[in-house]
Amino acid sequence: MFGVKAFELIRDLTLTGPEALPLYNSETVRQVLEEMRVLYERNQRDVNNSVNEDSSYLGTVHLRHAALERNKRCLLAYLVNRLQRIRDLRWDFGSVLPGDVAGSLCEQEVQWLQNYNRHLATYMRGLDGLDLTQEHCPPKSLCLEVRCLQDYGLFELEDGEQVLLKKDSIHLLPRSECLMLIRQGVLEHIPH
Amino acid sequence: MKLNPSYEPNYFSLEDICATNSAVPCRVEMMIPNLGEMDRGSHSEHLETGRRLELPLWMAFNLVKRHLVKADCSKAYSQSAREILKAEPAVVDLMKQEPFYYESGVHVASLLEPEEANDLRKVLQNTFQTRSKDVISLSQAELSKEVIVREQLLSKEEKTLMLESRVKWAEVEHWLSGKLTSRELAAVSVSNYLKRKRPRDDAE
Repeated sequence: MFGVKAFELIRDLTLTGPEALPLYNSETVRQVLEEMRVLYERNQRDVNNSVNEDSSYLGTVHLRHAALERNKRCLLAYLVNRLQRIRDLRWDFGSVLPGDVAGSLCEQEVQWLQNYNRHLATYMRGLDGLDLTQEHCPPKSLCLEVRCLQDYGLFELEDGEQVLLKKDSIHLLPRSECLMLIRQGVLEHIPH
Repeated sequence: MKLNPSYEPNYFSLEDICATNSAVPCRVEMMIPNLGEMDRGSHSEHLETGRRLELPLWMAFNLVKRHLVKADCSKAYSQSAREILKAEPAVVDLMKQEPFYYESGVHVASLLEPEEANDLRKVLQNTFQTRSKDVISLSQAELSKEVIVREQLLSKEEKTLMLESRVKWAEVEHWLSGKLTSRELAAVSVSNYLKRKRPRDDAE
């Protein structure tokens, strides 16, 4: 049946939650494109037949065309939804994705992410270096009490002071500097 | 960073693509040449008039519009299924019948004769109205065996609503308890990633 392979791609994406990124399925994408090529060629032949002689092939042409449109929709939805997830991951993990997440990207997606990073950095530089990825809501306090969840090592603050982030140690750090580490799961915020 | 998705399913909506993938029984009204391979039960080279076969919704849309096939109700939306929903909407396992029961149902209705389509639409609407009360009470209930069993009856649309509602109730409670400072949390994707990663690291 037509469109089955293309739906496999969509199922890949729905099986994981919207936050996770499954491996880019280049083999299935290739198979879908191959199916579309065959559909297109057969349709071309039948269209030529119907122009010259009878119109009995029109139903076949319409059916194949519907299958082509469906495959196209699945392929595009696959790519667009992946890009949206990659973009969200960029905001969560920072500009460098961890190794095995980055490994699920295909070559063009890596390229896209690099371009996205560059544009985002250029835009933020235009705002006097404001880091948009950090503050999503107005802050309630300047410093946060945090517990360290892993041995991170030395962390240098903007004023030059160094803090040793050891597992289970507790610190009072300036909000702007530790927010990214909280998002990345290095620190845990202890609310009052 | 996430924008609220609108209700109207867009071209790239994964949910809508899944909902339009469910099969409906169709009857071929006009011979479709060269595509006999789609009909497993026949050896003819063509799709013969009068043959019955199941087609996915996205294909049926196109063919019904051109009067090449006539669509029928699939089992999940048949007369008898509708009678059950009219009598007792709350206890039906929609997930088992059709994961996106309402979305697919609206699509199926667009293929039917006006009278039957209206009946189906009305049943879908009433079913949802009745069941939405359950969805809300489930989202407030403490997790227990019974709650988990009832959760499994929900269609995907209802399940999404319920999970969303559960998060919001927790937020309301947090606000009512007078805690002003919200807690900074690791991003969901990151904490999921770390959860997946940790056990593997230990194993190495």
